[in-house]
Order: sequence, then C-alpha cells, then structure tokens
Amino acid sequence: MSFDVVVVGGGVSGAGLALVLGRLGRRVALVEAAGALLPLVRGFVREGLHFDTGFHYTGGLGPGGILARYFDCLGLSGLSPLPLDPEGFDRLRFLDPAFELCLPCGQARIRERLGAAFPAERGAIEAYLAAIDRAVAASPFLNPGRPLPQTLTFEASGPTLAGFLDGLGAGPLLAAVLSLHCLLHGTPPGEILLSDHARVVAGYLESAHGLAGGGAALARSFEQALAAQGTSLHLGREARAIVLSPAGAVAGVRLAGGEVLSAPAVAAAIHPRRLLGLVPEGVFRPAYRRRLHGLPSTPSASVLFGVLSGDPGPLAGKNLLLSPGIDVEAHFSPRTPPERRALYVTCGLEASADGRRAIEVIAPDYPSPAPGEDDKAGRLARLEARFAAACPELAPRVRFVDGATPRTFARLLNDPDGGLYGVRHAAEAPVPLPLTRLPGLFLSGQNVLAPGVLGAVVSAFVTASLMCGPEPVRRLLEKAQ
Amino acid sequence: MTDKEIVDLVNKTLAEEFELDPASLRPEAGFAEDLGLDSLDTVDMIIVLEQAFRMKIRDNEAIRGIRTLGDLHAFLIEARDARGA
Repeated sequence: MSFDVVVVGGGVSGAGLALVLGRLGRRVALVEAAGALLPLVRGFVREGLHFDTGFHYTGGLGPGGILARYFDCLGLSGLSPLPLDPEGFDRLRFLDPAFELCLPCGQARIRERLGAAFPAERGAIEAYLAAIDRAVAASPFLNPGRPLPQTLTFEASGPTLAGFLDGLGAGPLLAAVLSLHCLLHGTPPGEILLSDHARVVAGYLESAHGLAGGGAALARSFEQALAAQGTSLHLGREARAIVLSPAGAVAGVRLAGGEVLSAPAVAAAIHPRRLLGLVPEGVFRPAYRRRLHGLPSTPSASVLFGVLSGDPGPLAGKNLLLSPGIDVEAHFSPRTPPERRALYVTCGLEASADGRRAIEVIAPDYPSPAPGEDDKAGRLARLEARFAAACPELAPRVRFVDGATPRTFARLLNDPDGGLYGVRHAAEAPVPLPLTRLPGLFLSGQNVLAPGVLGAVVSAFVTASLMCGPEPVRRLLEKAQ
Repeated sequence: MTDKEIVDLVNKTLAEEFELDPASLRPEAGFAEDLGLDSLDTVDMIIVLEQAFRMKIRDNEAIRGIRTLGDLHAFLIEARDARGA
C-alpha cells in the first residue's frame, strides 16, 4: 500500500498530525501498536463509570481558549467541556508548614487570592504573572494564525522557573505554591525554563475544564474525524523499521509481520528512544543517538481508581494537590520516599444516575529498578493510606476498584519509563527538533515541542508545517485566531 | 588547559560524536561545506562540547559567528581565558 505520509504512533499528536495532513490533502496511514487510538488518554470503564488514565483536566478549553481553538482546527467535534470551580479548581495543600490555597481561574482572581495569602510578596506575584503573559505573547504556537517559524533552532535560553523565582526574591512557601504546577508538565522547577513552564500553565490559569465522558470522549472524537477523512488506520500493528530507498531516502515503514506501508515521508509520534530502534544504524550520528537515549523522563505514576458514593464535598469541582513539604523538586526524584511525594486526588465532574462518581488518587512514581519487580499491591496500599489521611471525610464512602502502577503506564506509553509527560523539557537536556537529518523523517509529539495534550496538538501543526510548508498550515489555523 | 589540549579535545570529540575523519579536521574546514554538519547538528555539537569542556557555551553570542573548525578552536580558547580572568 502506498501513501503520501505514514504516521507512526496514534496518540494525541500522531492522530492529530494525521488529521492535519488529511486536511491538507495528503493520503495518510496511521500506525498504532495498541489495539485502539489514544491508548493513554482513552481510560476505561468499570462498574458503569469512566476512569481516566491520561486526561483529567486541562486549561484552554473555555470559550475562545487555545486548546478549544486547536481542537476546532483539527476538525474535532462533539466535545463538551465541563468547567471546574472557577473560584478554585486546584486546592493546593502543604502539610509542613501547614498551608492551603484554592487556586482560582483568571489573572485578577489569582492576583487577589495570592496577594491576600502573601501580602508582603505582591511584587513577586505581579512579576510572575507578567512573565507568564510575556511568554505567551511571544509564542507563535499560542497565537495561532501568526506565521510559524520556518526553522526551529536551539532556543533553550533564559532562566529556569526556580532561578526566576529566586531572582524575584520569592519566599520559599510562595515559590513552592508557584512551582507545584510543574506536576502538570513533569519537569522540576530547577530544570524547566520559565518560558516553557509559562506556556503550559497559562491555559490553566485562564480556565480549567474536564470533558463530558472524559478522555474516552476525546478518543472518540479523534476516531470520528479520522474516519470521516478516510485515514488508513493500522491498529494493533507495531512499526518495526523505517524502510530506506537504495539512495538512502525514506521509503516507508515495515510493520510486524513484514507488511510495508510505502511513503516518501514518515512522521514518528512516538518516544524518541523507540525511534532509534526503527532507524538503521549509521543514519544518525553518535552524538544524536546518545542524546536521545539519555533524555531524562518525566515521572510516571501510581493510581488508585475508586467509586465514591454521595457528595464529593471538598472535591466538588476541585482537585486536591497535596505536597507534604515545600521542596517541590523532591516530587520529581525517585529517591524521595513515596510518602514525601505529591498526592493528587480528583473526582469525576459527572455522577451516575444513582449518585456514584469516579475518584482517582494519583502520585508520582517510578518503575522498579529491578526488572520483574513491581510491588503493585504495596504501591497501591501506600496510596490508599495516604488518601485516608488526606480526605478522612470521603474515605469511608470510597471503594477502590482498580489500580495502575508505572508498569501500566509503560505499557500505555510504549516506553519502559512510563513518564506521563514523556521526556523532561529540561534546559540542560534539550528535546529533539521535529526535523531529523534523514530527509523525509520527522518527529512529532509531546517529546518534541511541549508536553501534554496541548503540546502534542501544537506539535502536530508544527510538524505538518515543516512537511507541507508553513502557508497551508497557517491558513488552516487562521480560523483559530 | 593549553591551547593544544583544547584543539585536541575539540577534534577528538567531533571525530567520535559525528563520525568525522580525523584527517578532515583542519582549522580551515567549514562546518557546513567541508564537514557536512548542518544546523540540525548544532544542538548536538553544543551539548557534546559543553560536556567535554564542562562549561556552558550555549548562551554565548559569539557562538553564532562560528563558521570553521578554527573559529570553534578560537572561541573555546577565548572562553577558557574569559573563565580564568
């Protein structure tokens, strides 16, 4: 079978790229090793309730929000965003020192709420919010319809988030409050550039939404749009090699079983480490191979999935983000004892007819260094004990029905580290660019441009613009202005 | 580090990391036209040199003017002097 482009990897970015390329008139084949698209994001159903594994809540889905506009440009339909409580969507709770703050949506409210909690540090709060605005304003990707850069180069410069907050003279508690959302991109405050951090959190500070039907609804929307477009789907098929012509150009992708999908261009929306196994030795230089191999991962997680009967109380329209100490950096290290890591509790925005809701308890976690060992029971028992201590008013009404560990996420993400946000976007270890030195081979996804659903979607448009030229992509994005 | 040690470390690093023929590593060799290293290789080059020399060079504006291997040698010698100063 012959195509214009083969996209390897059917996560948000690969499926999104297939949609963009289809809209630009390309014949596209999309290959996904799992049996269905968006394996991380789609979640699962248990006892009639939907549970999410990858998509819980996001910024930018309000009216005119950046993610809503990008979804629109992908041709996704049937999505119903459900707002979290705009007066406080994330309950940030520190235990030592004891401190709690409900983070609201909207800069004015945030300024007021933070200013009331840290009256002596209003200047630092103001400077932080202004820096976020500047980073957003400077980004061609967060201002769709502006010309996309023709070449992407090494842009890792400027202060890290921790360096910036330090320079402002922010006290340790305020710095921890402003850094805790590093959990939304998986790179610690001492490593993430302020500008990268800003472009992730800006959307959340504007609005926070879940989706009716959760990640499954997002997966269904992608499936419908791809079907309407006639994309050739190859599900449950693992890509084994990128096939080269005798002249050394990209010629297609060989699947497990030997079938070859022929195309003069291939886009890999998979983990960069996995890409190395698909490309013949000698194509990439040792420096590049070593860099991709050495990219550090974002944290994986352990998750408890439960059924809550009755009123969600403190979790109504709010997530609980608990940090035992104010050392946010510690949440990103496997050496931190599990009980000192962050805990995130989220409750479904939708209840079943008989008043039950999905509830999830999530903590950063890491694969066991010893292969074969997982200790799922131990990991989940620790989570359950921490949840009971953090939410004593809810615990008696929660029955846990399943759990996931880093091994689960390694399977869903098709990478042994199971890092929820892929590789770290660390100032010291730059992520790969969407272009490679093999003509016709491109990269896409959260490991390339920016993490999360928004990063993956934007990355799809950027890779498409490198493949098809910036002007057709800009026109596609024009209606998102 | 002496000037010669810097030159040798640059050449050894580039030969290994970019599979370049050591004989091609003459000071007048242009990165693009003679060594076949393009803008995509720039990131990798900066990273391997930062690791080899244990110093940060990516924010140094002078890096943009580097065209030949000799330019790179001179840049790193100057960076050593600036650090020592």
